[in-house]
Amino acid sequence: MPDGNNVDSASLAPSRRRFVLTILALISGTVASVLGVPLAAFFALPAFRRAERRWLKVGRVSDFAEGRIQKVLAKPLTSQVWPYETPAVALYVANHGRETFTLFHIHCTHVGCPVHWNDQAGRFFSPCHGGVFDVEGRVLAGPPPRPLDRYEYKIENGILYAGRIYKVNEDLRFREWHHI
Amino acid sequence: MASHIGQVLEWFQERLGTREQLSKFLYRRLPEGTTWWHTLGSATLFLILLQTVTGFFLAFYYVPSPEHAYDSLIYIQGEIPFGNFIRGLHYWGASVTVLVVFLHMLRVFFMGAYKYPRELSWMVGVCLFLLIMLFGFTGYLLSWDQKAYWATVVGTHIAGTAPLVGDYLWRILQGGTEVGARTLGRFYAAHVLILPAVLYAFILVHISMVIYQGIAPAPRGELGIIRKEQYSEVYEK
Repeated sequence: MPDGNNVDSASLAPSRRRFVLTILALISGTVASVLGVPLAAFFALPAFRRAERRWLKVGRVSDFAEGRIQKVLAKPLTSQVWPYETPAVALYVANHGRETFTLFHIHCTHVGCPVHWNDQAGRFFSPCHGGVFDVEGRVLAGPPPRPLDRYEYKIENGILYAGRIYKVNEDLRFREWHHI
Repeated sequence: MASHIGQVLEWFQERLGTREQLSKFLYRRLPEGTTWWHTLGSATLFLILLQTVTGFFLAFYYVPSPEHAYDSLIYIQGEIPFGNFIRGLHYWGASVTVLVVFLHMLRVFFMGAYKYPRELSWMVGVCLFLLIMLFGFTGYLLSWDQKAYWATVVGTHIAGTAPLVGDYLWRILQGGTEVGARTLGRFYAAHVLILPAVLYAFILVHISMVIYQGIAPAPRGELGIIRKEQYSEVYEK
């Protein structure tokens, strides 16, 4: 900048300009972060709340016929945070007897369409892209990348509760929790 | 009467330079070979305005909550005079917009109108196309029926398969671990507030560029192949 013609303004102006620019940058940076951080948190954080609905009440153990698969609308147990997500959650319950169950997540593992249990065929069918699962949730046909996801469960006083959803590997053993 | 109107116009002319501004916008010279296909952009603009206006009015009655969303649409269609018509326009208009935008894009592609010096118009146009797809995605959920619900489940699941950020994206899109009240809320806010603001900003840029650069010449004759160096010379002819 200094061109030598006007020593005063040449040496003064740039530094003053830089000073004003720095102050302006600081002010706008502060405003942006004072506004931006709360806005980002406001928008994103509610999506990462954990354990908002830890246990679902699925039903009385005695209501599930042994060796069969039934669709159930499970009710969230604990007080939920507003806005209430869904009044009930659909899932499939397979009773293996002696208080052992498999609770299937209703979403197909491909892109999440609701699978439908067909008793005669003894298979789960996805209505969207041709995914088919066997009675234990293994993939038989179509694009699903893994067996049906499952719920952890517990039994208290003869009542069956569904907990977190997890993914299983090819041997139908626990692989990882469904949600981060 | 006429002189009164003239006076009013003159008042604006002195302050805004209305005449020059408008004539720059409306009386542009067109290159040879401008066809009906060149009107698809204007058609898109009209459709977007139609979506905007019908959307304004739907918002008077639509309620974005799981308890009321579907019922408010039933109310709009069943009880409100012309409710069927207004919602029908918005519903079908959405599909027609996507169609016309696509035809517009094909026209620009096949006529080579994206070439120098209009590359930026094309890029902004691609952003506009994506924005319109987002309008479709967010608007689809708002009717809150089974089809809307599960279509959105599929949409967010697909977003969830993105590498690394998939799980976060999935949760942020849904506002939680499932499609619920918060999903509806954010899709509504995006559909009626955020996306329109962004869309119109991009439209402003897109149209400014069309006005600044003029309509692309049809790719035939002398204008069939234009080199960058001779472009302005040939175009001005």
